[in-house]
Amino acid sequence: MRGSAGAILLAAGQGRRLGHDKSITAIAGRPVLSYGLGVLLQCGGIEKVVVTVREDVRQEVLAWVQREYGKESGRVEVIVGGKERQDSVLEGLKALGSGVEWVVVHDAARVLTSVGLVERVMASAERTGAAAAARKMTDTVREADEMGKVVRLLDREGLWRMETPQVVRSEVLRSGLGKAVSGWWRE
Amino acid sequence: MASAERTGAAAAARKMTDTVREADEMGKVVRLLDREGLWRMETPQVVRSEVLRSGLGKAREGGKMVTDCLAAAEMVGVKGVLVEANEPNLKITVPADWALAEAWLGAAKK
Repeated sequence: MRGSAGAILLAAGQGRRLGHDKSITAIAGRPVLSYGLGVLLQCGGIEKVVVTVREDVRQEVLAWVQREYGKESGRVEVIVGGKERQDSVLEGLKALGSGVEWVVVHDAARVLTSVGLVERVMASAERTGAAAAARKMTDTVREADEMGKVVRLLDREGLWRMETPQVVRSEVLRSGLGKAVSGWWRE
Repeated sequence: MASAERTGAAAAARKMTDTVREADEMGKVVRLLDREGLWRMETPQVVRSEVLRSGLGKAREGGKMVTDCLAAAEMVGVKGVLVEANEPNLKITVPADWALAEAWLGAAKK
């Protein structure tokens, strides 16, 4: 990738649907966020990774990163994320500073992501300015109310489920986030 | 089955947790959808046999495609209900699903 890249690993989620903060809970013997962090550190072109976590676990995560990565932990910064996802991305951008040209945003909850996928999205962003991992919808989609009462059937043709990593020029992301006011913004 | 007994037709479904976009075959984004209220349909789907039979018959006569049993039920005016699947219910669809299912089933056996 031409120009340097920095990554933001989002691990400050509230875990509302899971019922607890999932970022440092062990899965298959390692903290959830360790999988994404390991992958991002291995990607060609990514110089620095900022991990956004909940305030109450920041010290614990920081200590873990230093233990786990030793000297390489100098490429990792652990910061407190914001209330919403977009706030965390903005905090991450600030921490990355103006030195990086590209930003790779990734959800820590995606524990199966490969280095290859991140690098593919980075290569695609380089050609187009912004790119994201996504998956074609394979299920039929319906609109229904909270009780499950069906409202309507959607045509799934052409629908994609958005995932991460998502790669954007840092300047574009910064001005885009500046414009977005709180509300529906999720990516 | 219990839910279908009350309403006439029911299907397992899952609330959409990802953002949804419409894009062309090349992945070029067309528009952003509001994921609120969107559910991904799964199976099992349970319908009164009479309703399914006449719904599928009507679909065939009209040359209409019905993507699931609730759509068949709707052909004859029966509105189904979705039952939230809050446990893994993976369907093997693309090659990557195979490894995932195998790992899950292997781990579950232990």
